[in-house]
Amino acid sequence: MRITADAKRVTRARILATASERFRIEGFESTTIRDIAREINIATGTLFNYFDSKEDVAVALAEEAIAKARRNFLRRRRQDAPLRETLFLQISTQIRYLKPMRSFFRPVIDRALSAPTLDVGSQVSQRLRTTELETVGDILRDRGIDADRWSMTVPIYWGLYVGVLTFWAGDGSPKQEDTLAMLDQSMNMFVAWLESKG
Amino acid sequence: MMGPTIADLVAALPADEPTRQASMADERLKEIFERLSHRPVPVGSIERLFAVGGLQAKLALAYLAYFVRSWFSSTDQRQQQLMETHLRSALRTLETMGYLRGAVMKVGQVLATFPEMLPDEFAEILGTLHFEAPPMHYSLLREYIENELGRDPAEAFAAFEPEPFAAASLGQVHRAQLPSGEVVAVKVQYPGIARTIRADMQNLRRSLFPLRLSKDWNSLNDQFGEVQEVLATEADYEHEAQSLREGRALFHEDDGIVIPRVYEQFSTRRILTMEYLEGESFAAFLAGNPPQELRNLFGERIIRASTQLYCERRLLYSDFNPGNILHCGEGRLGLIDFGGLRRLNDEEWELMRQAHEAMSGPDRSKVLAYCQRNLMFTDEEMSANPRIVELVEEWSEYNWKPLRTSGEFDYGDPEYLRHGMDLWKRAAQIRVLRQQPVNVFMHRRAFEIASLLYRLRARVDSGRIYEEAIQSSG
Repeated sequence: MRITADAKRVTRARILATASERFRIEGFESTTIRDIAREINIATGTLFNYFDSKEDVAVALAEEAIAKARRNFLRRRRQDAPLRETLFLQISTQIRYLKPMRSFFRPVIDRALSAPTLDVGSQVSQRLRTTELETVGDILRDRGIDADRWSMTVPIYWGLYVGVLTFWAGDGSPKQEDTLAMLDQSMNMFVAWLESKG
Repeated sequence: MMGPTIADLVAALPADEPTRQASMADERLKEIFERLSHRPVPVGSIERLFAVGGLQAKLALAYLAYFVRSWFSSTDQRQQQLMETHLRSALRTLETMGYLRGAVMKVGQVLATFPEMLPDEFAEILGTLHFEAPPMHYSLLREYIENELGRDPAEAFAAFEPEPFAAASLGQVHRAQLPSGEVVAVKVQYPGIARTIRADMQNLRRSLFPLRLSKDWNSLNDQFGEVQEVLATEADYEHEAQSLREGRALFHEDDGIVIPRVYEQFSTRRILTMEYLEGESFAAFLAGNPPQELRNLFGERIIRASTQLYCERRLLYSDFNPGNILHCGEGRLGLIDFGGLRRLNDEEWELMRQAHEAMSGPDRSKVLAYCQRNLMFTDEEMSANPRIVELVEEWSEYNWKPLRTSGEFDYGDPEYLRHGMDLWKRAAQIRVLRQQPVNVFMHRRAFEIASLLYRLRARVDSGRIYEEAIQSSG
């Protein structure tokens, strides 16, 4: 029996919803692919048709959250805001949407964000990295800055971006307020570097 | 005709002959602070004295640096180098505390205003004293407020100005309007700065620990603890909110003293939403050349506010810098910053009660007993340090002079201000290292009020106000 595209989308959404809940309640380490598959009444092998591993499930959840964050960011940003403020808003909005998965965000960092190059890892991991860099590239282009002009622009931004998210994942301060300060200062540093290049 | 400036008065004071050792120490300290300063600062006038920001910790840091500096002058070469090593270590720690940059360079309001105590170049390096919390752009502010209040500022408030209208010591202040219509001032602290300060102060204390070999380490350690406590208090807006509520409960409409109301629903430990007070700054009030009667009235209200808070609530408002007061029309005083308010504990209150008893009567033995307790001296130390005892006694007399004067006291008399400056200078020379920490704030409070009222040229019957406050406090 052929599975329709719609049916596949529905199954994928069920996998993600169930995984999200189990990761939150049972914990990421304690949850297995088998647990998720059993709960939605599909074979483990079937689940592997959608995702290579439970880490990829986490990355897919992050991808969805970041896509929603991006739509919110585009709605809220001010066209006349300084660059550092726009970059801050972009990442802080992501953090707000990623909040429900903070307890299991580390696998996302390890799997998708810490890769040395863009073409490493699963499709969903590659998509996550590419999308983020495209978003930032658009922001910089709006300011007349070509991100490709200096070879260090992307590595510097990426290092700060992953650094902030890593910090946030383990931030024990009340309401993770330290992350806001870290993000603010990181974007200040990035913009200062760009400005130093003229 | 304008009276003498502080610079004129200081220039008129007799200069000291610096010792050779003191000069060497000054040079080294100058180098260290020059590296930290990164920018030239103009030599100040009386305006700079009064323009500085208001944390009491700044004064305490000044004492700290001054005490440390004094060790250079009284030790041999080897000890000097050892102490310098520790000082450099401490200063390196301070260097990383970017928000304290002003405080480190300034080494306290008091020292900076007495260029004759220090080499001219050193005094020039000392800058305007204020914490330099980074400015918050609107996106950061919005995110932070949403974290703290649970809603975006555009939702929580009927209106919210994205640009701050004032800086606060650890953040900034925005004007806004509540859904119910009231215009408010929303003070927002820079995220995480309170914890950063706490951790840094602990590191700083550890780096100063080698100085514990000094016989006065315990007192210095206590005073450092005082600094930490003040900083922690300043960073806790819930504490400030409580102080505001207490202060507000003391005064009525016809007292002419206005303390802003707190809006608890829009306040947390890091956000303080208060009634926005309409008024002009102290500088603007003076620039309008108010008549003597209005100056006296405003001065009286400054004294009354300070005295009533102290007598009725044991609250020490020792942050009388012009940035914290407003003239709200017709001599009405607005007090807007209660962050540095300090409550006296039972032991400190008893010490102050002893001071009151000693200074109110003619019995000199009571005055000396109070001085001894203040200095924490043994009987032997009292006999061995007559200059210190004499200075502390004279300082107490100085602080109490306006209260003991029958009728109006003329705060505009430059001799009174000059006498206060002379006392600070002599304290530096004699190196009064040990005293009850609360007295650091008491002296500062008295001198700040005197300086403020000097600028006002106010004549106030402080004694009557003080007695009334004592009576009403029971």
